[in-house]
This record gives sequence, structure tokens and C-alpha cells, in this order.
Amino acid sequence: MDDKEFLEDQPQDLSRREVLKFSALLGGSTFLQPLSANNTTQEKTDTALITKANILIVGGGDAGITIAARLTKALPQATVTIVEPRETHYYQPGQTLVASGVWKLEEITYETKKFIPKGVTWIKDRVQSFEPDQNSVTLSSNKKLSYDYLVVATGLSLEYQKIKGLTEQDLTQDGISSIYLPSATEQTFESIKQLAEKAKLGKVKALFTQPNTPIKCGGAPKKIMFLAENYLRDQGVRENVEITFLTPGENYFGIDPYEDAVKRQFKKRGLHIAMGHHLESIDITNKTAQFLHSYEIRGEYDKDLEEYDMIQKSEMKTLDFDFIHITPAMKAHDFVKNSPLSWQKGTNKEYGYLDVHEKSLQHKRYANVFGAGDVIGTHFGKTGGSVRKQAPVIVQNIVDALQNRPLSAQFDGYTVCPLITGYGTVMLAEFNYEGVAPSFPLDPKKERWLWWLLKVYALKPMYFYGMLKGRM
Amino acid sequence: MAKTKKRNSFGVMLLKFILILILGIIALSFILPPLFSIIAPFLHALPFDAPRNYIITDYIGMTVLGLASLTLLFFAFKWGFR
Repeated sequence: MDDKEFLEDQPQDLSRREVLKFSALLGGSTFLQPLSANNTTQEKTDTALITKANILIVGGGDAGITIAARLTKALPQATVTIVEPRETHYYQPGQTLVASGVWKLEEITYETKKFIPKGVTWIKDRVQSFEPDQNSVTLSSNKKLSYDYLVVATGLSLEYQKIKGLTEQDLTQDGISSIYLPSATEQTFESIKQLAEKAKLGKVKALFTQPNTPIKCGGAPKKIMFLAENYLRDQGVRENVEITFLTPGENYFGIDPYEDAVKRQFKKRGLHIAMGHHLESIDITNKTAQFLHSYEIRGEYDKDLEEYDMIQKSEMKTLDFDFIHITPAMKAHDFVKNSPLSWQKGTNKEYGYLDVHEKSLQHKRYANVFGAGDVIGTHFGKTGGSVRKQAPVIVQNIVDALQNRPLSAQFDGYTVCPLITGYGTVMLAEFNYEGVAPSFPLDPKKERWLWWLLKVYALKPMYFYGMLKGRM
Repeated sequence: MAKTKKRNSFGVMLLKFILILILGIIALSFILPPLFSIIAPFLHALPFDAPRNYIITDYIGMTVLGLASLTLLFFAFKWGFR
């Protein structure tokens, strides 16, 4: 596809038209939804419940800080403590933009201490184990912390070491990249630029992988692929690069109507997809990657069932590459996985997720334990946008529990994925347990400049001045 | 008797203001998108690093949008509240 043809195919006219139509409404409507959700909690909690409850939050990422900020407002007399070992706070939604050269790493790197709300005690330590039967947590310094209420928001562990032949240090090498590791994001853009240089000399191959576990910000591996493709097209070398997305799954996005919309993006951009592929190992020196390819073949016809038996097959496949973007498998940290708080059976046990009710976010077995963020084993909700909706639910439910009332707030599974489809265009995929849940009266399947503006210029201030401050 | 100029009531002025604002938004939504689509490819082709071109385009686009909105507000006030 040549550049002219591609430009004609861009929906820029429509996007900008609608920018104008809704520009007046943008400010208001962006803040309306969160504020209205907020007000429900705020009305009830503003009655300033006097309690000396001891609330412990494990994890000081976006979920932990947001919940702490809200708790200090709702329960001014309560003791709120955050346990978080990391002194650096990364604005994770910006990692794709760093890896595509739009931002620098320093633009998403902040000190954690700046966001710890006033009145909250921050303990810089790691949790070693949970003892929910004794309402206590043991830190790696062997210190025990007791609590009346516990909020677990520890995030996920990136399992790069599960890929044979790969270590985190390798992700700074030429051609080996991953946007999930903040320190590797800038190198990712360097690798994309080097790929473009190589493509000027001849045909090259680029691979983008997806693991066989649920991941945070599930659209990110596709976002970086779309941006890389856009960059290569701008450099005039797109035709020399074979781009393949390898996924263990059997779909493009998994949720209608975004499934078809993403499929169209693949087709429009000449991107290949290899389904049923999982990255097992990598040979960095020779630049080859080994994938386990799982598939089904039709067996014998079953007369009783009146259908063919399906036989599961798998084989190892070796692919060579000039550039590979690796999305690691993700699971809960071991101290969560090996605790009584994790799922005790099923697939979620393997991932070690926190076993909470999907709507109240209260632990299924320990009523004074709640969970938020990536670590919880809910159907959806591994994005920053989900945390924004989970925080008021948890705070309200803790207030209800303190007053011995039934838990009134419910998380609807809201997940937002600003799926970047190129420089200047974003498709705003929003959904919840019920299905598609757009916040704006616009076709959610369309990529728009408006959402790009939202992603690049509006979401970060909303995150730092609204969400982390407990205002929205 | 000297003729006195009759002033509109505040309600009528507000109505005029809102009407001009709505008509202005409709007019801008027809004018600006084609204008952007003509200018944007030129800006994307600026001789900087690829992502920076898009950021410059964003800034110019938003500045034009902001100026157009302010102009619209100015005339809506001027003609609406006279």
C-alpha cells in the first residue's frame, strides 16, 4: 500500500470534524462521569465517619495511592498505612508513548513520595507474607503489621525469565525490546529506528509477541506494533518489513465490536497474525525465537455426536527476526500467590490472583480484605482506568463495613484501552462486564484524533491531579 | 419626544448568545476539518524526527481550534448581548 493511498484511508477528516462538534463538551463530559461516580461515594463518606480504624494498603502504585487518598478524605481519623518498596513511580500508560519516541522516559518517571497523601504513613519495605487469620502482614524486615482492614494492590510480576534464553538485561540490546519494562522503553524506540535503517538495505522481519497469561493493559502489544508500523511507513521502508503478531489466542481483540475493528487495522496495514503461538525461548545471538504452536485438526467423524472429533496438536516452530517485541507472561507476586488470599483452585490459582468478589472487590473468604488493580482475579480490569472506578468502590465498601451496613458499591468491570493505531489516531475501546461501555456518544470502533489528544495531553494530568489525589 | 433605543431583555440576549454559539460550532465543524486535512500532511512531512512532526501538528491543530473557539465566543458575546 503506498503512502498516498494510506492517507486517503485515514479517518482524519471525520475525527477532526467530531473534535469540533464535541470540543465544547469534552471538558465537561470527561469530568462528568468520574464526578458523578465520585459524588455517590463522596455524599455518603463526607459525613466524616469518626473511626480509629487501622487500614493497611499493600502496594503503592496507582491503585494503592488512589485508595489511600480517598480513605484519608472519607475517614480522616483512621490510620492509613502504605507498604511499598519502590521509590520510583512510573506513569505506566505512557510507556507506549516513550517506546514510540513521543515522550522521553523522564516524562513518565516520578518520585513515589510526591504522591503519598498527607496523613498516610509510607513504609518502604516488601511484604513477605500475609496472615489474614491473625489480621497481620509480615514484612521482609520480619516486622509484623496488624490491621483492621487490608487493601491488596500489589500489581503483577513480569515473568521475563520464563522465556528461556532471556533476561531483563537483554531487553536493552539491539532488536530485543519490551515496553512493559520502563528501563527498556527508550531502547525500544532506538531498536525501531535501527530496524528502519536495516530495512533501507533489504528485507527484514519484525515479531511482536503476546503471552499465554492475562496481561495488564492488554492492548499495549498491538499499540507498539501499530506505532512501529506507522514509523516504518513514514520512513518509506514499510514494504521491506514483514511484521507478524504472534498470539496464543484465537482472536484479534476478543471483544465485539472491537474484534472486527482491530482485524480491519491488521488488514489495512498489511500486518500478519499467527494465532496459537507462544514464545518459549529465544536465541539472542542468532536472532531466532522458538514458539510453541498449538492447533487443532479434524479427526474421525463421530456418528453419535454427529460431528468430527477435534485433535489437539502442538509443535515447536523457529522463526528468525531482526526485531522482536516481547510481552512477558504476568502473574501475581509470590507473596500473594502463596498466601491464603489467592485463588485456591482453577486457572486463577496458577496466576496467583487475589480471590475477590467481582463487584464488591471484597475478599471471598476474609471480609476485612479488599483488592484492587492488576492483582485481582476479576474478569476485566487490568488498566489504570479500571483503578479509577475500583477505588471509590473499595472506599465506600470499607465505610459500609465499618458501619455494619451491607456493602453498597459495586465495580462494573469498567476497562478502558486507548488503542493507539498510529501517530495521531486512537480507538477508545471501553467495556465492562456487560459489554461495550462508551463514555461518549461516538462510534467506539473508529480511530480518532480526538482520542489521541485525550491520550497524549489529557490523561496524564487527569491521572496525577485527579485520580491519585482522590478527586476523580 | 426623543426616540429611545429599545434594549432586549436579558433572556432574549442569552437566547441570541446560545443560538450564535450553536450556529458557530456547526459552521466551524464544516470549515476546520477540511482545513486540517489540507494542512496536516504538510506538517507531518516537516524535516524533524517522525513522532515530533505529529506533536507539532497537534500543537498547531489545538492552537487553531482554541483561537477559533475564542473568536466564536467573542462574536457570540458581541452580537448576542448587544
